[in-house]
Amino acid sequence: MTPPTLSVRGLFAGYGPVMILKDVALTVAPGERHVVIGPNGAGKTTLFRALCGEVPARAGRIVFEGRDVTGLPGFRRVRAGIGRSFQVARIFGEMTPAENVVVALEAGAAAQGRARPSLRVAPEPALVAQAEAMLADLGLAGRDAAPAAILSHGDRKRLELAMMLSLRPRLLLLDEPTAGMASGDRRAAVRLIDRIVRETGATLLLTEHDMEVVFGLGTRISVLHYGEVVASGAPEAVRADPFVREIYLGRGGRHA
Amino acid sequence: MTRPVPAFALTLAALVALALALPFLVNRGLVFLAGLVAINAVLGLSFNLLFSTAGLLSFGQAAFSAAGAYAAALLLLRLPEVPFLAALAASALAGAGLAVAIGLVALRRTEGVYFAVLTLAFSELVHVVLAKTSLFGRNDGLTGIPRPRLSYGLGSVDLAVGDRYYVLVILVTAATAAALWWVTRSRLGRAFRAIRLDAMRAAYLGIDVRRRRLQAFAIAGAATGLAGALAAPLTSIVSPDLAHWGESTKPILFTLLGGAGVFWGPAVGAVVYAAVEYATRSLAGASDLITGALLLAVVLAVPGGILGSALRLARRGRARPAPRAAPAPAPAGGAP
Amino acid sequence: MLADWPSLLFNALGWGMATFLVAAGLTLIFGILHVLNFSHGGVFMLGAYVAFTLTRWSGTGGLASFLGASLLAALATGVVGLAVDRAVFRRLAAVDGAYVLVATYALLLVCNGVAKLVWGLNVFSAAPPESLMTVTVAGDVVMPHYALFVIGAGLSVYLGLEWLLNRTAAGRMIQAIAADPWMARLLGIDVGLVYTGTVVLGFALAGLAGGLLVANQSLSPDLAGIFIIQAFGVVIVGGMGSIRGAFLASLLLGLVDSFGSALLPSMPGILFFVALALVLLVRPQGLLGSGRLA
Repeated sequence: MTPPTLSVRGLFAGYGPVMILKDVALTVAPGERHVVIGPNGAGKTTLFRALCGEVPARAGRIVFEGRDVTGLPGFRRVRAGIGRSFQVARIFGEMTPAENVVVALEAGAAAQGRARPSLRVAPEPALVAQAEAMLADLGLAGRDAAPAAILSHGDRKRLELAMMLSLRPRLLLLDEPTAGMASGDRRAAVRLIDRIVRETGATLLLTEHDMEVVFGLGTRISVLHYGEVVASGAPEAVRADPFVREIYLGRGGRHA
Repeated sequence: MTRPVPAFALTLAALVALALALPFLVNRGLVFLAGLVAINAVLGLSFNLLFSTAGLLSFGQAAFSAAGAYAAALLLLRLPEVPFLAALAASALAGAGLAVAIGLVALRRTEGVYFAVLTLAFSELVHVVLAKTSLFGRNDGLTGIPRPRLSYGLGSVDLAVGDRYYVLVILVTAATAAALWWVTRSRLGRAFRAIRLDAMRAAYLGIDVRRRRLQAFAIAGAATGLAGALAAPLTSIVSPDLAHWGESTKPILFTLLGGAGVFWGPAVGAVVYAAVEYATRSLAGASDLITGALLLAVVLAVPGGILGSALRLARRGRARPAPRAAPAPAPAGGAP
Repeated sequence: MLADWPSLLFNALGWGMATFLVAAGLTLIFGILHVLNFSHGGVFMLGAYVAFTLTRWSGTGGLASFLGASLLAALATGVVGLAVDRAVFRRLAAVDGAYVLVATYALLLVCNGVAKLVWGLNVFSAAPPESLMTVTVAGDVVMPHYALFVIGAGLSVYLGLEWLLNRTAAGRMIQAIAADPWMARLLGIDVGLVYTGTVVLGFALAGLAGGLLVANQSLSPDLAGIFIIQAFGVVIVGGMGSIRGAFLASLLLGLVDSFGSALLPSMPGILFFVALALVLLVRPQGLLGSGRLA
C-alpha cells in the first residue's frame, strides 16, 4: 500500500504561550482534495502555517510521503515536493511575470542540483520558454512588458500558482485560494484549480471559507474547532454530522 | 530595449579609457586621488550588491576592507616572494572569510535595525583586535608598505615607477566591477533580488534564504577585501582606523548619493564625494556639512540618488513623444 | 586579579551612569518614533561644545555655573530638536527603515560639520568644577567626586524619566502612543505634538549629557562617535525603547566593560561587543523589550 501523501499525528502548535492547535490528526491520501474548514479563530491558518513550516510544531509529527518533515524549515519542505500559496498572493512586484516564474524554475533547478555552472546573465532560453508556456496556460500571456506589481488581484493569484506549479509539487497547500474574489472570479478559480489538479495529478489541501468552493472542490473535509479536528470525512458525511451542524447552525450558520 | 552585456561593456571600457587617460591630463596628486576614488567605487559597488540586490544594510563593511588591507600589507612586508596577484587573491579571501564568520552570526537577525547594529558591533570588534594585536602593529598599524613588482615568465614590471601602480589599480578595479556586475545580473543575482523583494516568498520557492544571503555577504566581503588590499600599497600604510565604523558609512554614502539600485550609482557617488572633499579641503567641516546635506536631500527628496534621477529624467525625456500609460518602474538592482 | 573588585564595581557604576545619560534620549526617541537616531552622538557633542564655551565665558569654575551651562546646552539642543523634527523627522514616516537610519547618519555628518566649522579641529579639555575635583577614599576605593556627581546625575535623570512616564498625564499619553499610535489617535491624542515633544526632549537630554560629561573628556569632533556606540549597545540590550531596560543595560554593560577590562587588559572594551552580540542573538528583544516604554 502506498503511504498517505500527508499524515499529521498529535500536532500541537501556537504562538508564544498561546497553544492554538491541540492534538491535531489528519491524513491526506494521494489524489485527495482535502478541505480544512472551521469558524474564524478555529486555527485553520495556524494549521496551514504549521504544515508549511512557518510555525514550528511544539509536539507531534508531520509526515510527507513517508518522510518525517516535522523539523524541516519551509524551503526544505518545498524541495521535498510541497507547494504553498499565500492568502494574499505574494509575488516579486519589481520583476516581470515571466521573471517571477524564471526565478522559481531556477530555484527548482538549483535545489535539485540540475543547475549547470554558467556565465550567462540572461536566463536560459529553455527556462524562459517554459515560463512563458506556463503563464500562457494560466491565461497570463502577453503581460510581460510591465512589472508584476501592476497585475490585478486575480492575475497575481494566477501568477503565484504558476510559480508554485513550476516546481512540480506533489502536494499543493492553498490558503483560502478564493479569498477576496467576486463570485464570478471565484468560480473561474475553482475551475482552474480543478483543472490543475486533474492535469498534474497533485494532491490538494486547502483551507476555505466559501461553501461553494468547499463542496465544489473537496473530496474530503476536516472541521477544525478551537484547534481540534472535530470531524473528518466525505463532504456529505460532514454535512450531516450533528456536532458540525451545532457549531455552524447554532451560531448563525453563516460563516464556515 | 538595450542589450545588457554590450551596454555594460561599453560603459566599463569608456570609464577605463578615461581613467587611463588621466595621468596625461592632470597632476600626480589628482592621479593619486583618482586611484583612491576607483578603490572607493569598488567599496560602493560591493555595498550596492548587498543593499540594493540582496537587501542587507551592513554597517560593518570597514572590517572587510581592513581585513584585505592588512592581509596585503602583511604579505608584502613579510613574504615579499608571494606574487602580488596571489596576495590580492589572498586579501579577497580574507575579506570573504571574515564575512562568512560574521555573517554566520549576524544573518540570524536580518530584520529591522538588528543587522545594521550587529555588523557595526562586529566591525568595532575587529577594530579593537587590530589596535591591540602586535602582529597588526597595534595602534600604529603597519607602515612602509612597498609597491610591488609584477614578474611573470617574460619579464617583470616594477610598479613603484611612475603611474604604473595606478594603472594596475584601474585594471583590477575594472575587473572587479565586471565580476560584481555579472553577479548582479546572473542567476545568483536574481535569487538575491527575489530574497530582497520577499524573503518568505523566496523561501517557499525552495530558495535557501540564509545560505544565499551568506553568499551575497561573502561576495561583497571578497570585493571589499580586494579594494582594501589595492589601497595598502597606494597609501603605503594600514592602520586600525581602516576598521573604524566611520569607514563603514562611506560605501553607504557613495551608494545613496550616486543612486542605490543603479549598478554604477556608487561609482558616481564616490566621484561626487571626492569632488566635495577636494573642493572644500581648506575649510574644515564643510565637506561633512555638504555630504550630510546631500545625503539628507537624497533620502527626503531624491530617492534615486544622482544617477537614478538622471536616468529617470532621460527616460522621461525619451518617452515624451509617446507617454506610457504605466509609470516607469524604479530601476531594479542593476541597470547598466 | 579581581581582588580590587570594589573599585571595578565603582568604575562599572560610573561607566554605566555616564552611558545611561547619553542613552536616555536615544531610548526615548527609539521607543516612541521607532527611529534609531545616529545623530544623537552628534547632538551630544554639540551640547558638550556649547557647555564648554559657556563655562569658559563665565570663568568662575563653580558648580552652579557648570550646571547652568549644562542646562543651557540642553535648551539649545532642544531647539535644534524642534528644527530637526520639523525639517526631517516628520518627513521620514513614509521612508523605508534603512533610509531612516541613513538620514539620521546624515544628520550626524551635519553635526560634525557644524562642530568643525565653529570650534575647529582642536582638542579642548575641560576641568570639572572646583568643588568636584576632590576625592573620597573608602577602603581601597578611590572615588573622585566628579564620578560621584555623574552617577548622581544618571540616577536623577533615570528617576525623573520614570516619574514623567509613569506618574504624569503626559507620560501616560506617551506610553499610549508607544504602544499603539493608531489607537491613540482614535482616542483624540495629538500624536504629532507628542512626537515633536519626544524629539525635543530626546535632543535636550543629549545636550544635557554633553554638558554634564564634558569634563575629563577630550573635546573634539571625534567625541560624537565615541559614546554613540556604547549608547546603541545600551538601547539594544535594554530592549529597544525601554527606559528601565536601558538603565539596567547601562549597569550590566558597565559591569561587562569594567570587569572585562580587568580580565582581558590586552583587549579593553572587547567584551562589550561580545556581550552585545550575544544579547542580540539570544534575546533580540532585549532585557525588558516587550514594547513597553517604562
